[in-house]
Amino acid sequence: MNFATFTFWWFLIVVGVPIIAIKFVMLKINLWRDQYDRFALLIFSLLLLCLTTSYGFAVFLFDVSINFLLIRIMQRYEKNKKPIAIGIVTFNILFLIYFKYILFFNDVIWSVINNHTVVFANSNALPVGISFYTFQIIAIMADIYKSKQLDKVNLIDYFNSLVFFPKLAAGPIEKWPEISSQLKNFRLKFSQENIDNGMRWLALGCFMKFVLADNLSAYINTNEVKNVWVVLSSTYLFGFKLYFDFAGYSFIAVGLGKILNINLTINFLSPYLVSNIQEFWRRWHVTLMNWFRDYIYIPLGGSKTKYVLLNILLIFLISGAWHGVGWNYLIWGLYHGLMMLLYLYLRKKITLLKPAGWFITFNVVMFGWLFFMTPNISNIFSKLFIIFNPCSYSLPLISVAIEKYSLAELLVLVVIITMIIAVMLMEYLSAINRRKIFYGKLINGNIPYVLMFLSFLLPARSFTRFVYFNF
Amino acid sequence: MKIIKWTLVIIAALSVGYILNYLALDSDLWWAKSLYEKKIKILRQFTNTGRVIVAGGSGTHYGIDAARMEQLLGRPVINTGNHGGIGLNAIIGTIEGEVKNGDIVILISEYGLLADDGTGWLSAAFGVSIGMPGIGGIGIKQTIQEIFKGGTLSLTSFGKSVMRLFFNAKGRTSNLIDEHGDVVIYINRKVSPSSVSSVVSSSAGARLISFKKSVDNKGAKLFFALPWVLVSVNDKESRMYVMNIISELNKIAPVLYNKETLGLYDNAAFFSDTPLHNTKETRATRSLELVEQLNQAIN
Repeated sequence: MNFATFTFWWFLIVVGVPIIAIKFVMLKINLWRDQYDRFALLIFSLLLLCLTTSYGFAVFLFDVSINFLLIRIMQRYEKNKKPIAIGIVTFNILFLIYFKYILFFNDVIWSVINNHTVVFANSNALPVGISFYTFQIIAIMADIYKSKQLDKVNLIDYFNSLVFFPKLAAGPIEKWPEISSQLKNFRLKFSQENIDNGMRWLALGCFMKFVLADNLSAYINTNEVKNVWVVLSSTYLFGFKLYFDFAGYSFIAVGLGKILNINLTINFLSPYLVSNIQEFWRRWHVTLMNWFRDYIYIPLGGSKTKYVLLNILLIFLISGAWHGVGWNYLIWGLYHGLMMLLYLYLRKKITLLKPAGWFITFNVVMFGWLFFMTPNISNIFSKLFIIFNPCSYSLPLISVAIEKYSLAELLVLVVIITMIIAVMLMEYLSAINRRKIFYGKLINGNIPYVLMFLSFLLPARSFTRFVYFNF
Repeated sequence: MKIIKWTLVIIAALSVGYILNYLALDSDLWWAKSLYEKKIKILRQFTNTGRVIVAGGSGTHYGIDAARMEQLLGRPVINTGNHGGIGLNAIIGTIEGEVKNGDIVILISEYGLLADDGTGWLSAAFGVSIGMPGIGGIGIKQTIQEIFKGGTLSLTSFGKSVMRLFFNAKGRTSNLIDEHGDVVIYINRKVSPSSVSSVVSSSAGARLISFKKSVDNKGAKLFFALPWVLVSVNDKESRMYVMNIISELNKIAPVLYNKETLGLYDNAAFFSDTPLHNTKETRATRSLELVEQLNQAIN
């Protein structure tokens, strides 16, 4: 769900208020009091999805319904659950490939056969949240498969766990036992405590997305291949934009969840403060990496198999492919896989001080975004060439890069960078806390009020689409 | 208590935004507000009937020579062109109430404005600054959205306000105009070609239809004219889009345009500082052309 559109918040009020009003009527007349809340949540989420995209709604309904039937069949035929589970996984992977990669394969095959590029359809046709809910379905199926619990999956809880509006479009991808137990007992209760807790995360998310990420967009030029300063500054700023954009989305989702008394997993744990690449991947898009660990890495043998290094590389390649359609995402995945292998090899030989480890990791991760942000392969090579060519670093090019901006725009950039440094510092102070409550300094005390105030006062002139909605 | 605290924070933020927007500290907003105030004053000064009101974005402000048109037409001509960022709804909304029996209105909308939902990035703040929040005759949802947005500032506005207040840096936004609403200060810099890839959105179409009805009801006449745009040599795609827009606009009111060029030019010397702003000489040429087209249409 696109929290960056007015329509979302409008819908939240216009449809949410009558739903709550009906609840009180139901309570008064003592009708359907145990089922209404879960059902209302489902209807609300489905309506919101339908309003956002009728095409995405149709695809979602088809995919999720088929999977529900397949999971119920798997539960019924306990003895044959393995082949059914394999069938469910295959169906979902093919479904995802069809919608996400068919154009890419098409493009590759036709460009080989005809020596030219053919695009049959608009790449914007990607159904909303498909990458996330497909992985969520597989997680639900796998969690049910592994559990001894024979309770039938409840239709409303199952649908709610997938279409729950704060998480549908870009996660988090939750574990079935955790999310289902919360949804099973879901009640529309708006306590002061829940609203305050939720608003604190909402304030942090809004500030990260609308003030930091959106305002950074104007200073990122992904197409520049000649001016090394623009290439480098765009890459680093893109790294921050991506973090604040996606973490912003995730925290808004967490905040909305908390207001509704549902705890969603926090997807980011100050990832830019880590001192090694392994830790980075434990703290960046946490639920996706947990998914890879639980449903691919461990089933492949985990750290006990002799193919462990190959499996790590495979995980990162799949992660790259999941993130987007294009060679650049595969290169990005491969790059991180190789960095991970390099780290695992070197950590036994070299011990670095934490600040040195942070400096190296931060720059390795930031450099990696160059692949992520550049869809054109020849542009990637051009960028790499100028970055590694010492002659590119000419000082007059700095003034060429700066000349593009007015004094006001440069002032804005300085303000954004100052705010980023302040946020990172607060993250650091939270992370070194003995209780290690990530973002603690940003969500406790009076800081969230300031963040909410600034989110209203200093957003970008136009909202940009959440980056992860493209995946 | 906690909910009240959050509500107060949001109300305080929106209030600060409203006050700052009302004061129009941001240079774009200040420019749009002062142009509006000056041009509306000029428009109201022409009390005689049969006025020609030329409306549009900055392409109109920097695109016509109203004084020259007045000489040729023998009717009072007023250039009400303003900042395109205020959006199509506000451009129409600011002049709709001023139209009188016997007037001729020529709307020269930039193509981008026709593609949008009628609001621009500046429209909400502009509405607040001129004391008409939610201006433009839009639906209830959009009105609430515009009023809400009117209470938000932006980091860019903040930067521009600081530069304008402390360093007196105004950029291209000089508000000096003559007695016809025409621009008197020009900025020349190298302009790169643009392209047209817009279509008339359903909301823009609906707003234009309602504007046409309102103009008709007052006994005035509405015409559309095409903006002049700097495009690349052999830009056939832009031509295609413009043809499509002409056919859509023609369903609502007559369109005044040069059938040969469609207002698309590849000569950068015609343009001053953007692909939509003309030089002083081109404004005269364009105005002559517009007068000929108008004469043909009304005779």
